[in-house]
Amino acid sequence: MTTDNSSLIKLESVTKVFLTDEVETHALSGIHMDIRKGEFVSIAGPSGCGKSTLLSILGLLDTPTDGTYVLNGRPVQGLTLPERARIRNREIGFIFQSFNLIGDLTVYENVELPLTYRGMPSNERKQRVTEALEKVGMGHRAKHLPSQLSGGQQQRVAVARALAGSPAVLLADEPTGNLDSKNGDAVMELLHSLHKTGSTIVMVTHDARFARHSERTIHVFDGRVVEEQVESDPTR
Amino acid sequence: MQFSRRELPRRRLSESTQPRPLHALFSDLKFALRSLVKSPAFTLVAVATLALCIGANSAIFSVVNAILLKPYPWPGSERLVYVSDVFPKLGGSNVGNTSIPDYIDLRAGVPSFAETVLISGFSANLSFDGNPERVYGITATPSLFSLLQTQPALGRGFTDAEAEPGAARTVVLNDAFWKARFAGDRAVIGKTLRLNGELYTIVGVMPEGFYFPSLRAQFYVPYAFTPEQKSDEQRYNQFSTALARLKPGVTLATAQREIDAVHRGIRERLPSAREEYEATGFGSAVAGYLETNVEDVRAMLWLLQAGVAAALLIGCANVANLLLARASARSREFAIRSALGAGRGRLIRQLLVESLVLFLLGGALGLLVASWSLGAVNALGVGNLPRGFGVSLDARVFAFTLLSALGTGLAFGALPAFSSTRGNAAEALKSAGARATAGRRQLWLRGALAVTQVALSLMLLATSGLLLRSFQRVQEVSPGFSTDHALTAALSLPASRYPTPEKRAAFAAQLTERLAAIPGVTAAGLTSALPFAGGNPQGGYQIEGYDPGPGKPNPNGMIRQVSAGYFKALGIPLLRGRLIEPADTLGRENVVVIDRYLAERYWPGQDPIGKHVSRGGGATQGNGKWTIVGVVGTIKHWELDQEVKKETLYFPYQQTPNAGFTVVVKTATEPAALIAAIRDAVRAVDPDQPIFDIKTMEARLDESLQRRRAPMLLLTIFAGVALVLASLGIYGVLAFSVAQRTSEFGIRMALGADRRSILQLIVGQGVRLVGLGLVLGLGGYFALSSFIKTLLFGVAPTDPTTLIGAPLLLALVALAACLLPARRATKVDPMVALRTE
Ligand SMILES: Nc1ncnc2c1ncn2[C@@H]1O[C@H](COP(=O)(O)OP(=O)(O)OP(=O)(O)O)[C@@H](O)[C@H]1O
Ligand SMILES: [Mg+2]
Repeated sequence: MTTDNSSLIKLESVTKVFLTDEVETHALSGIHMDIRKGEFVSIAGPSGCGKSTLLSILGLLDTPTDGTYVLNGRPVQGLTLPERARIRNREIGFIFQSFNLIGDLTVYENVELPLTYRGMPSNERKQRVTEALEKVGMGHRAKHLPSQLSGGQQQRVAVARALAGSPAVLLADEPTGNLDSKNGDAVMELLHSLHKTGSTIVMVTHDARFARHSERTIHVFDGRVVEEQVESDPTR
Repeated sequence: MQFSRRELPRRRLSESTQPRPLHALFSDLKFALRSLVKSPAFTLVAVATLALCIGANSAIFSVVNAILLKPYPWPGSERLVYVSDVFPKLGGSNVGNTSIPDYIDLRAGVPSFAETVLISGFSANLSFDGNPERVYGITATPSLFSLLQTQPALGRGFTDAEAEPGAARTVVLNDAFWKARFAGDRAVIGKTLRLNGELYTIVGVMPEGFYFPSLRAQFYVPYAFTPEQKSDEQRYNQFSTALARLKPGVTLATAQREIDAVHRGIRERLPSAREEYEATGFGSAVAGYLETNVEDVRAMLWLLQAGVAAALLIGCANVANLLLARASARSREFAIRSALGAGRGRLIRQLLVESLVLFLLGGALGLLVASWSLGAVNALGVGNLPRGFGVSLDARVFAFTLLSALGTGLAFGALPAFSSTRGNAAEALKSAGARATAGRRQLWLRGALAVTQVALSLMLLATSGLLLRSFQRVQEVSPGFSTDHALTAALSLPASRYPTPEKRAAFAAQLTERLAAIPGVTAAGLTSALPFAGGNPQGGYQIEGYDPGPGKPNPNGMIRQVSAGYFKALGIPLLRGRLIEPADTLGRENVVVIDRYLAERYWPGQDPIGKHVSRGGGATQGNGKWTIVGVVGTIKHWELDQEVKKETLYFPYQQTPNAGFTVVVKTATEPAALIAAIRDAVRAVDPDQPIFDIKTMEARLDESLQRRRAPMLLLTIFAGVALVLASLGIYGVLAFSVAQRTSEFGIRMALGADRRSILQLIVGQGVRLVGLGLVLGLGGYFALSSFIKTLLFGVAPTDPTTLIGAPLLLALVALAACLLPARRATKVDPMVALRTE
């Protein structure tokens, strides 16, 4: 474990209100949160409690209605759209429940995509992509299209894509939600080993079994943090 | 009203005995109508696009049909031919001009001819209720009626006896003239008509709807050949038009061989003719009547039809795009249907029926569009093209419209029908990945459609650009004279009141004097043949001291008789010597003014003033020797886009006064305001003398551009429509692609793509489509350029302005069409990447 004490993500009184058809939905109401470098944090809670909303704010896909968010020592409100895109690209790796690989691109090209947006030279890209694919055990499938892979394999490619750019934090929204338990276990093993090599991971999950992989679980209910639980004996 | 007594035994077919395919078709039809009604916006856009495109096609086809395809309103018109004297070694072609003795020999000596006629135009002053009026008829041999296999509806045609010199004068009226002049009075037979002061007995009235050779002809009079006209002396005096109807099954080549044999006979029989035959290559040529009449406009009209057909294809591609979008939105419906056991054929049939309903609806409305647009098409000047007066929607246009709708409906309906029912149901029912592949296949088809649209649009744009530039170039051509503020009007002095040259000369002298005195007139003159007015008399002449050499023809030029003020009135510049003067009258020294073309042709680098030319025949008086006193600028007589290839000789009207001429006045004020004053001037000299064909010179020149203007304008309109439709097509394919790829853009943005890179992605896709379309379009354009070349003037298909301008315009418009969907793609919320279905 390589946790240091510096704070990577700091949320203060973050609220998010959706306004649709004159109806206000308070998805998040005053969230405080502090995540340090190298931590593996789970976010749990019932459906509709605001987990995905929280994650999208952490990933700069969305902006809070109120409150402050400091990422890596830098407040992110007031950033321009291109700056946000740049941070997403460099500091954040996403793993989605539905894998979200691009069907027209090969496995290799999918993993390469964020590096391309970064303007990385192609030989460096190649090295990184190969490394990432090896890490998730998908090196032999680089030329395949996503439709030719099983769900678990697709999610492993998605993990490779998320970590290829060495982001500061990996955000995963129900990464095992679309997988059977065997494949789900494999992906969790993968995240676990990534954490051991120093990655910071924030994962949304329903499944208490998977939450146990993390060091800390944040329970959200109706847009609020109701409980923080430090895993006493996470299976490491 | 009466019906047949016998009742047909009618039995209602029960559901079970009804033939199944028909039943299925009916239910497909019902479903198709229902689904079209359910999506009114789609139906409206598709039907409107089709109605416009099919309607434009039908409108143009009705022009092509009326001018190029429709037979004349008499039987056997497709076997009618011109028989023309030709002088290959003199160059140029003289359609339909034949001398009387040649006509007589050919009529007797060519077995392929079922019937022949010799005709000549006959303009006459008609005195009716004391108002002199100019009328136009045809002098024709009595064989006219059997040639056209049409007899008068009332009365009879001409007898051979009536075509003898000195016979009592008879006339056959055309239906419209009869109705206008005699209110359709059936008792008109036996009444008389006073033409040029002579009484003609009306013997017949032609049937309604008949015309020959054009709508202009109001009546027919018999053609009587005098013994002098029949003599061999007249062999090269070609001033009439010979027509023949070929026997069924006879080819032009066979007829031509027989004609050549006749000429060999003449040549052997007449030693004196041999030299002329040698020198000029003299003979007769046969050519299809309809084909010859429409020769000048045929290529242009087909080009127009091709252009509007291209616009239709482009429009159809858009409709196919809409159909594809609909089909892809319904792919789940199809999957479910197919899971429930519907075969692929069944689904395809249903989609096809739906498209056919759509296209037929478009075709039906297209007919309305066509009938409305005929007026506009006419206003653009199509009515002035040869046979252009007959443009209408007839059975053939209806059939064409139906076929266009069915053909395009089947072709473009089949694309979405086949493409969207491909792939199996299980795949279609699976979500995400599978649907993405189905979308990709469609995207490919849509891309291909868009590329085709761009290619066709470019071909249309570039071609219309070339026509436009040709038109500009023609307009820039100087005719060699000034059309500015010049008003012209024609007169024809009847032989009964002006039998002698002296009388005609006196009339002309008085008239020009009065015209010049009209306030606002700065110059007045007259000419036997005005440029851009139709007539163009030509003739042979000799140059003193010039020997063409053995076997070479004598010089042949355009012959004009003009008054002193003519050159000034038309602004033809004097280059050397002097102009014709009022003092150049009968009895004075015979003088002639020549144009620069003649001077440079026969006296290059020398002064022709004082040299002599002579003309034979009865056209001149005195010794037929004329002294050149001046040289004027060369002018165009016929078309701005044709090179002057012949010299012009201007003789003083006062020394050679003929009966028909056109006056020209140059005005300081608005020329049209002086028409009344000109009429008054004519009336002051002779109250019974009509004037006709009053037009500004500007208008005459403008008419000569009609042949180019109308097709150019129409093609430009179609190119514009094509441009809009093609950019809609590009827009459609990209918008569809953006919609298909929404989640992909969300993912890309979540991974850090900024707006610019998304914009680039879509615009890049558009640029590839447009680029490929442009390349293919340029290829097609060059493949067709040899055909287009013949329609151009002063520009080549490689014209850089067109070659750069057309693709650039298309690229810019297409790019604009890309930007909208591209901007929409950048607006995709990256959150969609998080949302799962
Ligand atoms: N774009 C939006 N517009 C309006 N309301 C939204 C939007 N996104 C989320 N919400 C609402 O915000 C609340 C929180 O949604 P969120 O997706 O964060 O829940 P969740 O905890 O991720 O649920 P689940 O476990 O089912 O994924 C819900 O009530 C949801 O309806
Ligand atoms: Mg969620």
